[in-house]
Amino acid sequence: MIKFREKEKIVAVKRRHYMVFVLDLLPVLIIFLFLGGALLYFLFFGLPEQLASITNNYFDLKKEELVFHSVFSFLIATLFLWNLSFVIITKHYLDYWIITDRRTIHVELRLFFSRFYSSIYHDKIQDTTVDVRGFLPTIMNYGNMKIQTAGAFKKFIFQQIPDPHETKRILFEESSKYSKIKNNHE
Amino acid sequence: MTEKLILLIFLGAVVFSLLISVIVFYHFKKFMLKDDNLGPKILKIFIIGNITILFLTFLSLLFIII
Repeated sequence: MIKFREKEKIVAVKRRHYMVFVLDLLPVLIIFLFLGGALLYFLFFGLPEQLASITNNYFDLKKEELVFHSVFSFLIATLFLWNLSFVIITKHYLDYWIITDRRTIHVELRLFFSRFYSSIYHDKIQDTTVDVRGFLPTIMNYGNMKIQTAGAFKKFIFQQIPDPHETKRILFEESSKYSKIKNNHE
Repeated sequence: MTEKLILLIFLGAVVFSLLISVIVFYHFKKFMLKDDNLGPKILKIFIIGNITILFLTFLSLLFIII
């Protein structure tokens, strides 16, 4: 879990837009629908003769038994797809950007058991740019927001976040407040 | 021969599902933000779905064996 500084307040938490997540899950959904369609076909019309004869060469099964085997195979495939979906969901959910009243934190799950963590204080921000590119990002209002920093870690990118312009405004507001507080202390 | 193979596939699926569940749980519990309401709900859906599919698979396995 991320450790925050004393009295540090979370202002906003940003994750990738849900459309990105839907697009990531789309291939899994298509495979599931294809398998479901094939299973329904087998249940209503039986296995096609050719497929049944090929399977019989290996397992010596009756046509009715093959239907049960089709259901079993479909459920095994569904279990695999279900787990795969949640691997994608975990990856999606545990990648996030946090804007606090002092800094911006990026937490990314690159692979399982491999995490990337970085943060920049708001007084190090030099420039922010918003990049909304493409048909879907434009109508769904999501895109990238790049932060140019003064430190060794030059660029900080919020990827495919919802409403990047509003995020830029929040970040600008917070960095102005933080800079003022810091200047008063000095 | 076929029954043994199917049983082996089922056991493999159970082990696979358990392994993924442990990994997903570990990451959620460790890296979820404090006061996160959605994370536990996602985990609940994941586990309920996994158990349901495993149960249905087990039923279809029984139909094949019996």
